[in-house]
Amino acid sequence: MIDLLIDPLTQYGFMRLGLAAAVTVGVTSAVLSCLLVVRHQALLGDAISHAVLLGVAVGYLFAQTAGIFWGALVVAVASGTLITYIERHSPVKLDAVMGIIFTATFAAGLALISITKPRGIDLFHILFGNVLGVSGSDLALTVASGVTVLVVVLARFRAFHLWSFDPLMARAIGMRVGVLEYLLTGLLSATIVAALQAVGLILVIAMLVTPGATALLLTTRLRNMMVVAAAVGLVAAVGGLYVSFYVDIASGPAIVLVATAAFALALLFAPRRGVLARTVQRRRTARRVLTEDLLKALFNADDPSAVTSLAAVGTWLRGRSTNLRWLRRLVRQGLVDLDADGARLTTAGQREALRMVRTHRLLERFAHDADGVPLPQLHDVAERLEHEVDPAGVRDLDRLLGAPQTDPHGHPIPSGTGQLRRIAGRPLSDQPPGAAGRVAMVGDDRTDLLERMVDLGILPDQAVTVLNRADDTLTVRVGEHDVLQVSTDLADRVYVVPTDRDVPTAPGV
Amino acid sequence: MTLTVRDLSVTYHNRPAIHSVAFDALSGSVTGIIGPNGAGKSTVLKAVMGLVRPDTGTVRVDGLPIDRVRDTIAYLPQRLALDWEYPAQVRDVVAMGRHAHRRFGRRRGRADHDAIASALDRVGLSELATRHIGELSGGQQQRMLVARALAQEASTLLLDEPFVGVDAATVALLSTLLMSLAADGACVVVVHHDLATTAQMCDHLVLLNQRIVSQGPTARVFTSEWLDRTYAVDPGASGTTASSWQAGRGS
Repeated sequence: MIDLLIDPLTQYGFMRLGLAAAVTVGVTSAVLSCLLVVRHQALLGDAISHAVLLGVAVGYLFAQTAGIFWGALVVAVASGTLITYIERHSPVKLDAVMGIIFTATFAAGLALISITKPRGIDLFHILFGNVLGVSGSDLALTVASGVTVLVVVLARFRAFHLWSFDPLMARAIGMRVGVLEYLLTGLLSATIVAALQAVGLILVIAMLVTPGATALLLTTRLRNMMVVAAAVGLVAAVGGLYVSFYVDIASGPAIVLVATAAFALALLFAPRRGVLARTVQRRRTARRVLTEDLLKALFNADDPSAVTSLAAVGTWLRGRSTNLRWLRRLVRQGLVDLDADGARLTTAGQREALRMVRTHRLLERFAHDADGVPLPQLHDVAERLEHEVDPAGVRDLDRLLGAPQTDPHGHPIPSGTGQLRRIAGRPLSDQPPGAAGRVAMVGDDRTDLLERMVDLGILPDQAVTVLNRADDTLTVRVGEHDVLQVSTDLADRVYVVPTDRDVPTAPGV
Repeated sequence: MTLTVRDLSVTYHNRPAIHSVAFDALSGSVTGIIGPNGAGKSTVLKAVMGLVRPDTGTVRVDGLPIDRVRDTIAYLPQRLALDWEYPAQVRDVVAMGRHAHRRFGRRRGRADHDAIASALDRVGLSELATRHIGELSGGQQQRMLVARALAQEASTLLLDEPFVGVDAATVALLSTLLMSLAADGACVVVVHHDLATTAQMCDHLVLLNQRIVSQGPTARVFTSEWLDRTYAVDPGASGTTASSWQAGRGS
């Protein structure tokens, strides 16, 4: 196995030179690709490398092979400048300007080469590279420019970091961002010219995007991103070259394909940002939400250890597109006990359920008090948010609101230690005519009735007196003057504390 | 420390964004710039910092041109203008505040580390220092940006809509923090669209609708009459221009 890797190097000098060139190019362009990716400028490499063809043709025209490097550099910087200028001074957006300039310079380069037919330029090699044809002097030039690029990036790392994250702040504190922009263009040009031999103009585009994009999936800091990208570039260069040697395909495409494979692996398997990790995370969240909702559904404030029939639980679960097997998960987690009558919350289950009720009601209080969400919409808002608030968030919320006792419907909020106060009171529909009372809480299970209560002003703390009862309507006085008719459906959901005498405690839902 | 703005005008695509804006923001006070959408509030801040090119106008800090004192001014862009997928941890972004004081090639020293640590502490993010910025809530992201300004040890803070999409706890924490910075002598300018928190936090207001509508101490300017004129549909109808700014500042 080791021989397979070493033999080509000892037997063929071109492999040694080629490997050194490919590695240099792979690492250098990988580091630069990070800056392009975080600046959302991945196509800048594309644009400049096309422009380099014109530079190569012009440089060769003036000074043959010796002029290629400088010609490429000048044209690359010039086209980068032109792109920036047109973007700033016309309504055409950056992507379109890049498209125009890089095809134009590419076309001009091709035209010039087809007219002058320079003998020292092999168009195929310029476009797609010929790493195994690297000469000693080519390698020296590649290494020199690679080292220069890396040194400059390291020396100006903090400036690049700040500028790429927050260009407005960079300008605000007086950084000369124009200089950075030209510097980046210059570094790109140098890298692309140095990469001509190894991967060619077209394929270097991939090396200026793929390693950076791969590393972005795997890291959370720019510095680490550059290190990982460099490793990807290194692996692509070495791997690609050996693949090219043994499978006998062109070296440039082989290097690019290895880099692409690395990207595909990262995209799928990256620990936090990969497709797989995200899917697992999503499923875990969905499971947690379902568990929390089911615990709340099983919870009965009056009798925390009340038994719910399996038929009822089954109906509830089918409403959430699942079935009774779900209950077994909760049993395994020690949250629910099953017996012949049905399901009952364990102590741990009750604690969890109370925690959910607390979160839900604090959120309702917050949405109502701070954001002015009207009563009928509160439940849905809290239902959406309750699974996203962590315990620290619940504590903050409680402190911020001044440890409220009730939600806006008047329902008691369980304490942080899981104590649930009972609200004294009984349904308005049970009040005898003539008895004065005060609304303690209103049920929130029917949005339409809640809207009607808001319209009528039948809300917590309001004084209400039943004046008369018929079969399905009650005549009540609300506040001082308003005399209204309400349905028993509505009256069933209004809990009243008599104001003239003490009463026994009543359900606290 | 006084930020003096005179006759500041900016045009976007032949349409005036702000016209002849003039105001002073003093150290020791929180100045709020408020007005309806499209009133040019953010443009004022950007023009002050030279991030958009003004057609006319001068900006001075204690009589000095802005380019001489940029390291003492912290500009906080709108939170949503930033890329939160960017590979950086909380401490990296806060450390950027130190860049204003860098000397080329000098390594970060103890003063830098102390400033970063204390900035994180003041906004309550010490425990999240190594979190990726994309994992923060909106309120935590905004606190991080304020910590960056603290690390910069800036004496002037310009904040563009710091309370958009931010939880109430963060609003409370940040407004208290900004008021205490002002009490310690900083000059704080906040662009703001939510009138509710404005009156509590700002002791000075600039009512803007492309032109200055009114300005002065909050108690005098924060009245329904002036607010109605600021939020009137036709900004031209209710404008007062540079010539009347002094009258508006009668304190």
